Amino acid sequence: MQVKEAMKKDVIKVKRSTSLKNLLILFKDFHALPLIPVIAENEQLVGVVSLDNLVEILKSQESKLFRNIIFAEVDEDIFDLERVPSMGELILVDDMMSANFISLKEDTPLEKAYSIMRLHNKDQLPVVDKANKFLGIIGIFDIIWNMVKEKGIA
Amino acid sequence: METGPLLAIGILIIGGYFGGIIANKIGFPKVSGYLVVGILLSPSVLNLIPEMLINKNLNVIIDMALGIVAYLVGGSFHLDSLKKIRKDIGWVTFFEASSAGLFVALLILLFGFFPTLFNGNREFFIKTCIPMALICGAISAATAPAAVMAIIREYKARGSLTTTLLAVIALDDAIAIIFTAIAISIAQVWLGSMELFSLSKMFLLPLIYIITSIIIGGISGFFLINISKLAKTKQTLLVIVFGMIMFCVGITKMLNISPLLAVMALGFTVINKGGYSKDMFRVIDDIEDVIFAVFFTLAGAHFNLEVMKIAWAWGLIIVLGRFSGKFLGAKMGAIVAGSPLVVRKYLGLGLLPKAGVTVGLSLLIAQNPNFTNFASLLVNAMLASVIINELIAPPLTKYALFKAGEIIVKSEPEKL
Repeated sequence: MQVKEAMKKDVIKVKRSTSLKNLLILFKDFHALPLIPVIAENEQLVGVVSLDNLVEILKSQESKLFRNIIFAEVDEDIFDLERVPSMGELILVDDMMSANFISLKEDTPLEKAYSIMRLHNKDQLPVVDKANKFLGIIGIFDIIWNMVKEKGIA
Repeated sequence: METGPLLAIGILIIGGYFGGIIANKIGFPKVSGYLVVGILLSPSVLNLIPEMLINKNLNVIIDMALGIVAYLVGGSFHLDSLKKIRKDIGWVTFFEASSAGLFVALLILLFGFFPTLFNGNREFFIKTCIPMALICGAISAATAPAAVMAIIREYKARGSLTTTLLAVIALDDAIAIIFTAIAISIAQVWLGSMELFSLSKMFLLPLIYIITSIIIGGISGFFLINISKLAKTKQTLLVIVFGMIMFCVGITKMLNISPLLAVMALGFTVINKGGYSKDMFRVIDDIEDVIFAVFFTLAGAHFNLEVMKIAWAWGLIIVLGRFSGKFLGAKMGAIVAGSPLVVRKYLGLGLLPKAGVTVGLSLLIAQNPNFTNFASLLVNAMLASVIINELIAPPLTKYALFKAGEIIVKSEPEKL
């Protein structure tokens, strides 16, 4: 089976210009933050926002500079930081998204998709067609669900 | 009954663990805790780790740890991100790092030359002082990020001095590693070719060493990128990344060229030429803490009370040279680059903390067979300089940020 048959197509998408505040409001009733695709005009996938990006943007600028430095001992607690209310409007999706991300092609077999996710420690990935048009999101749970259905477990 | 290497490693790690926790509790970086525990475990104090293990049998840990350090430093040279750094940062870093090196080297030469006027012992000067000056100078370029970072966070400093400070520190360790690799190559040739000394050989041979090391690292990098595609999980990726680092260190040591540069070139190639190469660095996160704990505790265990009786003076000289070099170099660089006034005035004071890379590099030199006649002196001088530094430097960084007006909230540091 290919990922296009198992993926979720009805997904909330955001634009580069969406503000942090609007993004948070969009997902406030979800019981966990899903992987959020960032779409340009003509439906091109230009980035993704994950929980990691959200945590990262709440951290200080200093700790970002130090991310790649050894012995920096950056162990920042997000509760320790001062933050101003205006950052809700000032920070845009463009500032926080990962522009260099992993995506799956629609015809990738589920087995391959699963091993890619394990290798990169991801539990969800975006799915695109050959022209990089966004099609949907596939998660490890979708793959498991298809597998158990096939075996008659559920 | 004798303490075997594994028991020693166990003691070092467990002791280091407590050292790190206590250090953090009283507001010092973990590395300082590891070093102090190491000193306590050393043959001169509690004598829990036999000297034989410290000076010989556990050397493989030093290579392993420095291999990982060099790989991570190489990986911090992501060209696309480096392009975004402000132009003046480059100038300031170059000036402060090289002038710290120059001042330390000159002071050591002076300090070593003075006694020869009375006793005429030129051999000590040529065989010990000159290579020591070269190497200590190179190592002195390093700055420890942890202490500076802790102060910035504790006092919530912000402003142009803070950002410049952070950016310069980010580049400092890499520069120190490059300088040291070059200094080792030159010192090796200097000591090896005492009889048939020629200027061209003095510079040509090190250049060949350096270029060969970089080529080996680069080729290994391309090889690693390609074979890493076979890895199916994060765990298998760690296997091949770690294996390749060790391979690079091992082969360059066998050829007696520079493992540091080779592994840095390996990391550099992976981050710039590999596809999703960040994963190839993240896998190291899982193992680095344990390796660094044993490494720095072992470093502290090199403490030798006998040698320290002479070495403390050398340590003091290193601190003096480094302080004046960093201070004046940063000032000069900031003026040349046209940085803001607060940066010109106070940046040098902020760059004084040092620890991890300094000690690491001195251990690497100590186990090099070419430098055995001053190995213990060098490590103990560096240890002394780190200890002196640990007491003076962080308050000076605090003072610099306060004078620059970038510590806004004047509150007591929170104890964690």
